[in-house]
Amino acid sequence: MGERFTSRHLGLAGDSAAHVRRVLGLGEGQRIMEKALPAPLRAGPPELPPPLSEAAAIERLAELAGLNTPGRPMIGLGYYRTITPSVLRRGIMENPSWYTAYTPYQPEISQGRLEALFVFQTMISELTGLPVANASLLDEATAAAEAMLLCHRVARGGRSRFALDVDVFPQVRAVLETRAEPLGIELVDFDPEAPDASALEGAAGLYIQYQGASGRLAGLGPAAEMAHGAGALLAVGADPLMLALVQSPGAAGADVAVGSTQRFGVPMGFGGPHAAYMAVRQQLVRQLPGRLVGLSRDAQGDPALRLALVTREQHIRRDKATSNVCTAQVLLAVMAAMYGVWHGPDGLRRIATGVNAAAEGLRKALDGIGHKTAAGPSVEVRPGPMFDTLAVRVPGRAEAVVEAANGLGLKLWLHDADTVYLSTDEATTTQDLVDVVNSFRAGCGLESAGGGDGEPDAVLAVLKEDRQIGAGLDAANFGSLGGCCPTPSACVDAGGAGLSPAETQQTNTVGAPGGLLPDRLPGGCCPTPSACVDAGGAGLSPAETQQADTVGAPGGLLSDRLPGQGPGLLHVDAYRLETLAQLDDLDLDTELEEAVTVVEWGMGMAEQLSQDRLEIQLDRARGAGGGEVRRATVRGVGERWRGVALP
Amino acid sequence: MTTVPADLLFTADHEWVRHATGPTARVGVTEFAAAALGDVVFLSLPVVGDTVTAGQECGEIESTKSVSPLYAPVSGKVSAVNEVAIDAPELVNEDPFGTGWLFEVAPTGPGDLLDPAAYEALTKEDEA
Repeated sequence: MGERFTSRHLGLAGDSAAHVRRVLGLGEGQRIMEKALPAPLRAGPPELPPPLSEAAAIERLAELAGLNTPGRPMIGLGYYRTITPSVLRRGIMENPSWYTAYTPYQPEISQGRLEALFVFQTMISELTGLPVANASLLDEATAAAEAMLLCHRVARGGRSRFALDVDVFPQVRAVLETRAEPLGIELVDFDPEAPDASALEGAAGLYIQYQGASGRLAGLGPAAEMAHGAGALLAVGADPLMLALVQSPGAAGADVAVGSTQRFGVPMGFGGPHAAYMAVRQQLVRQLPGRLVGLSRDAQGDPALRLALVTREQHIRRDKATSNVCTAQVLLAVMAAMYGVWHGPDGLRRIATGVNAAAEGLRKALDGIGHKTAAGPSVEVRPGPMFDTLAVRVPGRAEAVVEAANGLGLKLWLHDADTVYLSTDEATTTQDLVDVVNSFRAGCGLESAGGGDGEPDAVLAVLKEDRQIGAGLDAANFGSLGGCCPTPSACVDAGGAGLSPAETQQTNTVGAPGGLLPDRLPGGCCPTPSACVDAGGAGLSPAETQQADTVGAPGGLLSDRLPGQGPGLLHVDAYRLETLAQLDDLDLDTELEEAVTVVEWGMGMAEQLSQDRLEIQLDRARGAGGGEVRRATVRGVGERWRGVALP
Repeated sequence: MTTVPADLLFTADHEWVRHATGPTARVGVTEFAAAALGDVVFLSLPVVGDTVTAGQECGEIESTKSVSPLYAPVSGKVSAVNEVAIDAPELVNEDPFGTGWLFEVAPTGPGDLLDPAAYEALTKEDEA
């Protein structure tokens, strides 16, 4: 038995309960809901599983999380492993002063929070080389969609096309397609390696993935020139870590930059949540969606942070709002900002250099393992500049390579039958690289690696050499290498950094990173969002602490039982499962007999649960006039539904 | 009490027009409007070559207090915008009938305009 908290937090006790009953005029034994809600509307108590103690709930959540096999993801495409400095984990992610605050309706009351977001904006502005950055957006794909809408606002309805890099991340393309269609925007493919000016005719903007999904990396200058020549804006999706090394989008002439700050210390989770960023040229500041923190002066003339330009959003003139975005990923943006502060400009450059060097080493190793065939090498890495991503051509063998990697717990990206994509990151180890090489050998039927037990292996030796930044970042293309890096101290006083190393394993002192908030905080404390307000009821809520624990855990909920009368109703998100065995682990057997079980995205898996089932497919007509109407097609399968008329 | 120049025509939305019948009609907001808006900080004007329609929204005027739509007082093609005022929006407050003008139109159709007496009566109503 653990603590259940019911006596702590729920309901009234003793005299206060009697007082409330008296005030409300409740008779002996009468329940408040009987007065508040007419009998026909009362649903009765919900059917919930028995309550769990805190300890039991954590155990149950860990059990569910254990159904996931996190592995070692090297898929890339905007999601990377990252090392969360423990000072950020403890001081911010697990600190209720930061994580409990949600939508402060008077944001100026939390000057510390605004200051942290101001640091985020400053860091993004310096990395992107663009003067104004917002306080973050939902994720990279939706930020790209906002960039597309921004371009169309600037074109004032005069241009209905939007040109899109053929090498864009697939999820970014998917979201852009979804957003473009109902707005009548036509997406046109654009290949920066074979630029076709006709794609830009009538286009409001051009979106380039700075390092493409395939690792393609080229200077942005020509794209900017072409876009501007055609009267379009240039929007760029850029990895902020890469921007520590290459020319900034702003310096290359881009008008808008977006990207994900996930790899700045924020765990991948299930693909979110992570803070995206958006930065623009000065002339576009009034078109910037989301929130913008500005530095102003208060009535006493002291510096004061406040939200700027929000009048353009929903407070007034709702029908004219710049976009529907009226929020920011505050907690994750703060994490990313403090990751930048913690490492400082040199630290970020060092991490980026290491990530690049690992990829370069891997390129060298992989290019060395294949053999020549009439159609070219059996293993060939796409040549040319890249930051952290390799496109490896293995004709006909891609699936086998990915399968072999899976066997080692490595996740690679199967681009097509002949091509595997993979990305290195801050957490990549030499062992990871060795395993990648061995996966390619196994998948391609090449001679086994050796090298495991002291056996000499020239190819793998390459990976153990001191890694140098390679020729990948061609100086001809990137004249201003390392030109920009975050220096939060540029806008706030340098000082004893708000991130105290004392309570972490770190032995180095914080050193140069900009001092945030120190004079508003108790000594040696971690940054808090509300230097001037009482932490309030938020401080010690056990429920929220639990939530934070699960945020950090690799898993999450897979199925949930929904309350209500009648037969049980069970909902399963099948897309989160990889194998039938995992479905078995959910113990659905009894429920399947007694409850209505809804399996979302169950195709290819739900069939094996039950011979009798209803298959429901929802479609929405595409194209103009598709609108909000969904068409449901219901198909009965099995004995149970034979002869039953379905709508 | 604000000035209402006798050589201009007006709209109920507190904009003025000089030479409303052409060939070049100049448009701005009245002193009454400028005072009501407070400090003007940003102008979003139509661009040269745009076609505007009398009574339809064609831009925005942003002050420290609010953002208000600009309506075209006459129909026609925009022939000039006041770039100086775009860079220095405070001109709208300082000299609304002069250097604080907003844009010019080659009019093709008359709008629903008020003469100075009618406009003055309107502002008195608003003040009351």
